[in-house]
Amino acid sequence: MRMGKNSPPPDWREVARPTPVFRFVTAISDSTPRQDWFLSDQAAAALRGEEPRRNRVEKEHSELLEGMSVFRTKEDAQAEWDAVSQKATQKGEPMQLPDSIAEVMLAPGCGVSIDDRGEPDGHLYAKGAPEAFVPLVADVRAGEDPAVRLYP
Amino acid sequence: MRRYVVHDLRGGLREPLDDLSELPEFMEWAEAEYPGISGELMIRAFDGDREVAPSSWATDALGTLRESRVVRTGRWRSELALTVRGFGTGWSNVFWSFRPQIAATETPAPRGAGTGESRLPSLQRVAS
Repeated sequence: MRMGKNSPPPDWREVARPTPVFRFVTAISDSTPRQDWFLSDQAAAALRGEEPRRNRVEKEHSELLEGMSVFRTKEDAQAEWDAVSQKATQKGEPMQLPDSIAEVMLAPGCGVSIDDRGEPDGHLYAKGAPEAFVPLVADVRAGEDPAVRLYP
Repeated sequence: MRRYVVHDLRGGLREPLDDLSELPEFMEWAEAEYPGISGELMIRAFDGDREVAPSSWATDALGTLRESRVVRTGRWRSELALTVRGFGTGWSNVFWSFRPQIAATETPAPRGAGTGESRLPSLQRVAS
Protein backbone atom coordinates (compact mmCIF):
# COMPACT_ATOMS: atom_id res chain seq x y z
CA MET A 1 0.00 0.00 0.00
CA ARG A 2 1.32 3.42 -0.93
CA MET A 3 1.23 5.33 2.32
CA GLY A 4 2.17 8.78 1.16
CA LYS A 5 1.02 10.96 -1.66
CA ASN A 6 4.40 12.39 -2.64
CA SER A 7 2.91 15.80 -2.33
CA PRO A 8 5.01 18.95 -2.43
CA PRO A 9 6.17 20.38 0.89
CA PRO A 10 4.37 23.41 2.26
CA ASP A 11 4.99 26.64 0.46
CA TRP A 12 3.91 29.23 3.01
CA ARG A 13 3.50 32.60 1.33
CA GLU A 14 2.71 35.89 2.93
CA VAL A 15 -0.19 37.56 1.22
CA ALA A 16 0.88 40.13 -1.33
CA ARG A 17 -2.42 42.00 -1.48
CA PRO A 18 -5.59 42.20 0.59
CA THR A 19 -7.01 38.68 0.56
CA PRO A 20 -10.14 37.45 2.31
CA VAL A 21 -10.20 33.92 3.71
CA PHE A 22 -13.08 32.15 5.44
CA ARG A 23 -12.86 30.10 8.61
CA PHE A 24 -15.40 28.00 10.53
CA VAL A 25 -15.80 29.42 14.04
CA THR A 26 -18.05 28.96 17.05
CA ALA A 27 -19.83 32.26 17.35
CA ILE A 28 -23.56 31.84 17.91
CA SER A 29 -23.31 32.39 21.65
CA ASP A 30 -20.47 34.93 21.49
CA SER A 31 -19.54 36.49 18.18
CA THR A 32 -16.69 38.63 19.45
CA PRO A 33 -13.56 37.52 17.56
CA ARG A 34 -11.13 35.74 19.82
CA GLN A 35 -7.83 33.95 19.61
CA ASP A 36 -9.18 30.45 20.11
CA TRP A 37 -10.90 30.71 16.75
CA PHE A 38 -7.49 30.72 15.14
CA LEU A 39 -5.47 28.05 16.88
CA SER A 40 -3.34 25.91 14.61
CA ASP A 41 -4.54 22.34 14.12
CA GLN A 42 -1.66 21.23 16.30
CA ALA A 43 -2.45 23.69 19.09
CA ALA A 44 -6.16 22.94 18.97
CA ALA A 45 -5.53 19.21 19.30
CA ALA A 46 -3.08 19.78 22.13
CA LEU A 47 -5.69 21.84 23.95
CA ARG A 48 -8.06 18.87 23.69
CA GLY A 49 -5.32 16.56 24.87
CA GLU A 50 -5.36 14.70 21.55
CA GLU A 51 -3.06 13.97 18.69
CA PRO A 52 -4.25 15.84 15.62
CA ARG A 53 -5.91 13.73 12.93
CA ARG A 54 -3.75 13.92 9.83
CA ASN A 55 -4.53 12.96 6.27
CA ARG A 56 -1.84 11.49 4.06
CA VAL A 57 -0.47 14.85 2.97
CA GLU A 58 -0.34 16.05 6.56
CA LYS A 59 1.43 12.86 7.57
CA GLU A 60 4.06 13.60 4.97
CA HIS A 61 4.34 17.26 5.89
CA SER A 62 3.47 17.72 9.53
CA GLU A 63 4.38 21.42 9.23
CA LEU A 64 0.93 21.85 7.71
CA LEU A 65 -0.49 21.34 11.18
CA GLU A 66 1.23 24.57 12.22
CA GLY A 67 -1.55 26.11 10.17
CA MET A 68 -5.32 25.79 10.17
CA SER A 69 -8.01 25.25 7.57
CA VAL A 70 -9.55 28.19 5.79
CA PHE A 71 -11.41 28.54 2.50
CA ARG A 72 -10.71 30.73 -0.48
CA THR A 73 -14.23 32.12 -0.92
CA LYS A 74 -17.39 32.55 1.08
CA GLU A 75 -19.12 30.21 -1.37
CA ASP A 76 -16.48 27.52 -0.83
CA ALA A 77 -16.90 27.70 2.93
CA GLN A 78 -20.68 27.77 2.73
CA ALA A 79 -20.78 24.79 0.35
CA GLU A 80 -18.65 22.80 2.76
CA TRP A 81 -20.78 23.83 5.72
CA ASP A 82 -23.98 22.93 3.84
CA ALA A 83 -22.64 19.54 2.78
CA VAL A 84 -21.63 18.55 6.29
CA SER A 85 -24.82 19.95 7.77
CA GLN A 86 -27.03 18.06 5.33
CA LYS A 87 -25.17 14.90 6.14
CA ALA A 88 -25.72 15.46 9.86
CA THR A 89 -29.39 16.14 9.29
CA GLN A 90 -29.77 13.04 7.17
CA LYS A 91 -28.19 10.94 9.89
CA GLY A 92 -29.90 12.71 12.76
CA GLU A 93 -26.53 13.48 14.26
CA PRO A 94 -24.99 16.65 15.64
CA MET A 95 -23.31 19.03 13.23
CA GLN A 96 -19.58 18.36 13.16
CA LEU A 97 -18.49 21.85 12.18
CA PRO A 98 -18.56 25.08 14.19
CA ASP A 99 -21.76 27.04 13.79
CA SER A 100 -20.51 30.09 11.90
CA ILE A 101 -18.23 31.34 9.15
CA ALA A 102 -15.83 34.22 9.76
CA GLU A 103 -14.40 36.33 6.97
CA VAL A 104 -10.82 37.32 7.73
CA MET A 105 -9.33 40.04 5.58
CA LEU A 106 -5.62 39.32 5.34
CA ALA A 107 -3.33 42.15 4.33
CA PRO A 108 0.33 42.41 3.38
CA GLY A 109 2.44 42.47 6.54
CA CYS A 110 -0.29 41.04 8.76
CA GLY A 111 1.90 38.11 9.79
CA VAL A 112 -0.22 35.41 8.18
CA SER A 113 1.02 33.01 5.51
CA ILE A 114 -1.01 30.82 3.19
CA ASP A 115 -0.25 27.41 1.73
CA ASP A 116 -2.38 26.88 -1.35
CA ARG A 117 -2.27 23.29 -2.56
CA GLY A 118 -4.79 23.91 -5.32
CA GLU A 119 -7.46 21.82 -3.65
CA PRO A 120 -10.68 21.76 -5.66
CA ASP A 121 -12.98 22.76 -2.80
CA GLY A 122 -11.02 25.93 -2.09
CA HIS A 123 -9.41 24.61 1.08
CA LEU A 124 -6.23 26.42 2.14
CA TYR A 125 -3.91 26.31 5.11
CA ALA A 126 -3.32 29.61 6.95
CA LYS A 127 -0.50 30.05 9.46
CA GLY A 128 0.01 32.87 11.89
CA ALA A 129 -0.20 33.76 15.55
CA PRO A 130 -3.84 33.55 16.70
CA GLU A 131 -3.70 37.16 17.88
CA ALA A 132 -2.74 38.26 14.36
CA PHE A 133 -6.07 37.06 12.98
CA VAL A 134 -8.38 38.60 15.55
CA PRO A 135 -8.30 42.23 14.37
CA LEU A 136 -8.67 41.09 10.77
CA VAL A 137 -12.11 39.57 11.25
CA ALA A 138 -14.39 41.54 8.94
CA ASP A 139 -17.61 39.58 9.15
CA VAL A 140 -19.13 36.60 10.93
CA ARG A 141 -22.29 34.92 9.69
CA ALA A 142 -24.31 31.97 10.86
CA GLY A 143 -23.56 28.86 8.84
CA GLU A 144 -27.16 27.74 8.83
CA ASP A 145 -28.50 31.07 7.63
CA PRO A 146 -25.80 33.20 6.03
CA ALA A 147 -28.19 36.14 5.94
CA VAL A 148 -27.79 36.32 9.71
CA ARG A 149 -24.81 38.53 10.41
CA LEU A 150 -23.34 37.97 13.86
CA TYR A 151 -20.41 40.39 13.66
CA PRO A 152 -19.69 43.29 13.37
CA MET B 1 -9.69 17.26 -14.72
CA ARG B 2 -12.16 15.84 -12.25
CA ARG B 3 -10.97 15.71 -8.66
CA TYR B 4 -12.57 14.69 -5.40
CA VAL B 5 -12.55 15.53 -1.72
CA VAL B 6 -13.43 12.77 0.71
CA HIS B 7 -14.55 13.47 4.25
CA ASP B 8 -14.72 11.01 7.05
CA LEU B 9 -16.97 13.14 9.16
CA ARG B 10 -16.90 11.30 12.44
CA GLY B 11 -13.20 10.60 12.20
CA GLY B 12 -12.39 14.14 11.20
CA LEU B 13 -10.31 13.22 8.17
CA ARG B 14 -10.46 15.18 4.95
CA GLU B 15 -8.55 13.95 1.95
CA PRO B 16 -8.32 15.38 -1.57
CA LEU B 17 -8.12 12.66 -4.24
CA ASP B 18 -6.99 13.08 -7.83
CA ASP B 19 -8.95 10.05 -8.93
CA LEU B 20 -11.64 7.76 -7.58
CA SER B 21 -9.28 4.84 -7.99
CA GLU B 22 -7.43 6.25 -4.97
CA LEU B 23 -10.50 5.81 -2.81
CA PRO B 24 -9.98 2.20 -1.68
CA GLU B 25 -6.31 2.94 -1.01
CA PHE B 26 -7.28 5.90 1.11
CA MET B 27 -9.80 3.80 3.02
CA GLU B 28 -7.23 1.12 3.70
CA TRP B 29 -4.69 3.69 4.76
CA ALA B 30 -7.19 5.39 7.07
CA GLU B 31 -8.18 2.13 8.70
CA ALA B 32 -4.55 1.13 9.22
CA GLU B 33 -3.67 4.53 10.58
CA TYR B 34 -6.77 5.08 12.68
CA PRO B 35 -8.24 1.71 13.65
CA GLY B 36 -11.94 1.91 14.22
CA ILE B 37 -12.38 5.02 12.14
CA SER B 38 -16.02 5.44 11.29
CA GLY B 39 -16.10 4.12 7.74
CA GLU B 40 -18.63 6.67 6.74
CA LEU B 41 -17.64 8.87 3.90
CA MET B 42 -18.92 11.94 2.16
CA ILE B 43 -17.51 12.66 -1.26
CA ARG B 44 -17.64 15.83 -3.30
CA ALA B 45 -16.50 15.99 -6.92
CA PHE B 46 -15.14 18.98 -8.80
CA ASP B 47 -14.28 19.91 -12.36
CA GLY B 48 -11.77 22.64 -11.69
CA ASP B 49 -13.37 24.55 -8.86
CA ARG B 50 -16.93 23.76 -9.99
CA GLU B 51 -18.77 21.14 -7.99
CA VAL B 52 -20.22 18.35 -10.10
CA ALA B 53 -23.57 16.67 -9.62
CA PRO B 54 -23.18 13.13 -8.32
CA SER B 55 -25.41 11.77 -11.07
CA SER B 56 -22.41 12.04 -13.37
CA TRP B 57 -19.95 10.16 -11.19
CA ALA B 58 -21.64 8.30 -8.33
CA THR B 59 -22.03 5.15 -10.39
CA ASP B 60 -18.28 5.15 -11.01
CA ALA B 61 -17.67 5.59 -7.30
CA LEU B 62 -19.86 2.66 -6.51
CA GLY B 63 -18.19 0.49 -9.14
CA THR B 64 -14.76 1.42 -7.88
CA LEU B 65 -15.68 0.37 -4.39
CA ARG B 66 -17.40 -2.81 -5.52
CA GLU B 67 -14.24 -3.91 -7.26
CA SER B 68 -11.92 -2.92 -4.49
CA ARG B 69 -10.28 -5.39 -2.20
CA VAL B 70 -10.99 -3.18 0.75
CA VAL B 71 -14.71 -3.73 0.33
CA ARG B 72 -14.65 -7.26 -1.07
CA THR B 73 -12.67 -8.50 1.88
CA GLY B 74 -14.62 -6.54 4.39
CA ARG B 75 -11.61 -4.82 5.84
CA TRP B 76 -13.61 -1.63 5.88
CA ARG B 77 -16.41 -3.55 7.40
CA SER B 78 -17.40 -1.21 10.15
CA GLU B 79 -20.59 0.04 8.65
CA LEU B 80 -19.28 1.41 5.42
CA ALA B 81 -21.57 4.05 4.15
CA LEU B 82 -20.88 6.27 1.23
CA THR B 83 -22.85 9.41 1.05
CA VAL B 84 -22.62 11.38 -2.08
CA ARG B 85 -23.37 14.97 -1.76
CA GLY B 86 -26.22 15.83 -4.01
CA PHE B 87 -26.74 18.90 -6.04
CA GLY B 88 -29.77 21.07 -5.79
CA THR B 89 -30.99 23.88 -3.68
CA GLY B 90 -30.38 24.16 -0.01
CA TRP B 91 -31.96 21.51 2.12
CA SER B 92 -33.53 19.67 -0.78
CA ASN B 93 -30.19 18.31 -1.90
CA VAL B 94 -30.18 14.67 -2.81
CA PHE B 95 -28.21 12.07 -0.94
CA TRP B 96 -27.37 8.55 -1.85
CA SER B 97 -25.94 6.07 0.55
CA PHE B 98 -25.23 2.41 0.71
CA ARG B 99 -24.14 0.06 3.40
CA PRO B 100 -22.75 -3.36 2.93
CA GLN B 101 -24.04 -5.66 5.61
CA ILE B 102 -20.73 -7.31 6.29
CA ALA B 103 -20.65 -9.15 9.58
CA ALA B 104 -17.68 -8.39 11.75
CA THR B 105 -16.99 -12.10 12.05
CA GLU B 106 -17.08 -12.79 8.34
CA THR B 107 -13.95 -14.45 7.03
CA PRO B 108 -12.16 -12.10 4.67
CA ALA B 109 -11.71 -13.34 1.12
CA PRO B 110 -8.15 -14.09 0.05
CA ARG B 111 -6.26 -11.09 -1.15
CA GLY B 112 -7.09 -10.35 -4.74
CA ALA B 113 -9.60 -13.16 -4.92
CA GLY B 114 -13.05 -13.17 -6.33
CA THR B 115 -14.82 -11.30 -9.03
CA GLY B 116 -18.25 -12.46 -8.04
CA GLU B 117 -21.17 -10.54 -6.83
CA SER B 118 -20.52 -7.61 -4.64
CA ARG B 119 -21.87 -7.58 -1.14
CA LEU B 120 -22.92 -4.03 -1.72
CA PRO B 121 -26.56 -3.39 -2.32
CA SER B 122 -27.54 -1.20 -5.20
CA LEU B 123 -27.06 2.48 -5.07
CA GLN B 124 -30.01 3.70 -3.17
CA ARG B 125 -31.53 7.09 -3.19
CA VAL B 126 -32.44 7.70 0.42
CA ALA B 127 -33.71 11.24 0.52
CA SER B 128 -34.46 14.18 -1.66
